Amino acid sequence: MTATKKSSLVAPVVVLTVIAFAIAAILAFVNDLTAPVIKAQEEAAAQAALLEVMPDGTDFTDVTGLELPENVVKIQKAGNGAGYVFTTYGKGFGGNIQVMVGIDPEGAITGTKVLTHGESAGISDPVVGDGSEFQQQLPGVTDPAQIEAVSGATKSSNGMIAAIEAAFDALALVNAE
Amino acid sequence: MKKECQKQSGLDILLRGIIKENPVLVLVLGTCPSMATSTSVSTAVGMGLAATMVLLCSNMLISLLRKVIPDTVRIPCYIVVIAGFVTVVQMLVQAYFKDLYDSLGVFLPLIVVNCIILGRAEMFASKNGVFHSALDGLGMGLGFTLTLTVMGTIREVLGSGSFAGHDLPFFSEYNIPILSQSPGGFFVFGCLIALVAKLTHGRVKHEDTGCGACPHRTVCGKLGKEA
Repeated sequence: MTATKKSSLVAPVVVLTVIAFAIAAILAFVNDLTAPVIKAQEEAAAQAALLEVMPDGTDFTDVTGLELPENVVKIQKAGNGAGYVFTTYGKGFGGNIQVMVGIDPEGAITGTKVLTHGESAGISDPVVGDGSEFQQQLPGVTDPAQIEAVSGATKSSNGMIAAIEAAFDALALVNAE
Repeated sequence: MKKECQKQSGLDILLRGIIKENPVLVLVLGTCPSMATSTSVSTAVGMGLAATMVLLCSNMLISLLRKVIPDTVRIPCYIVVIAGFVTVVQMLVQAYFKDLYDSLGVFLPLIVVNCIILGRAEMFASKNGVFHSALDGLGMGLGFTLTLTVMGTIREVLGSGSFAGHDLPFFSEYNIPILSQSPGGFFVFGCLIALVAKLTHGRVKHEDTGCGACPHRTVCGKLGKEA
């Protein structure tokens, strides 16, 4: 009787532990295989996004040592002097819209790309979609007040404008440095 | 509880998941990912195949281990096995199908808590042999994939006017945007449930109430007994 009681206590622990270890071993093996591929892909994707918002830029490096304003996530500088790329966010209809904004040394936008957003599918496409109506008006803009919102997607537009304003604020900060 | 269920042919087990016991439309499991990932055909197919892969592997492994796993810790064991396979699939998709990984987002890791997979482990794989469990996993997975594909096609063609990302003539000008949002998912879901109920009406004999009316009755093995 005691023997069965003991085994009914020990067996579950042993079995669960062995299964957990076996699964962990499989995961470690697969991770070894896929981790380099994933890393290379992420770097390529980040590089491609940078080139999309600033086609002339090369050798991007992170700007460090600045106290970043609240809405600014990251500032990257083009090594060849083509300008800065700001990763900022603004509040849209469904949470924050995270945007990459490229600004050249004259203070004009070179390009924008929405990284993440939670806007309604379909309705927000003219604002957050790649190459959308809203974003086509942006290259060359030097003052966020010139940007026109898209009717039907006002909140999404305002979120984008807020993100772009944050980028200009950050630009002032970088230039003052 | 561990005794084999009534004799079933392999083909029957495989085909059962597609209409008669379709996991989404008859068993009403895995509703959340079905709503969320059926906004376009390509994500729907991707999600379906990823879940099928996990279902097949977890059903086989759990069936293999069914005599070893003690009853008291069976659910943690199933979850560990399922989570392991989901993570493997997730890493593979992230490495080799980046676009699909981006469009599935959080729903790929959420396959871990997909009721279909845990449900089949508990209802079927823990009581049946490896071969039958593999067939069951494949059948249920294909049923899931098929449902998602049908939902995805309806929602993408009528909602966004495209098919697998390609714009269609006529539909791209006259579309119903609400179908590509959450309420539209429920509309399509309800219509498909009604359709499947109509198709199977009268062919699947079962009682109207009680244990005999349960969609799981054919695999449960406890028909008429207290649960």
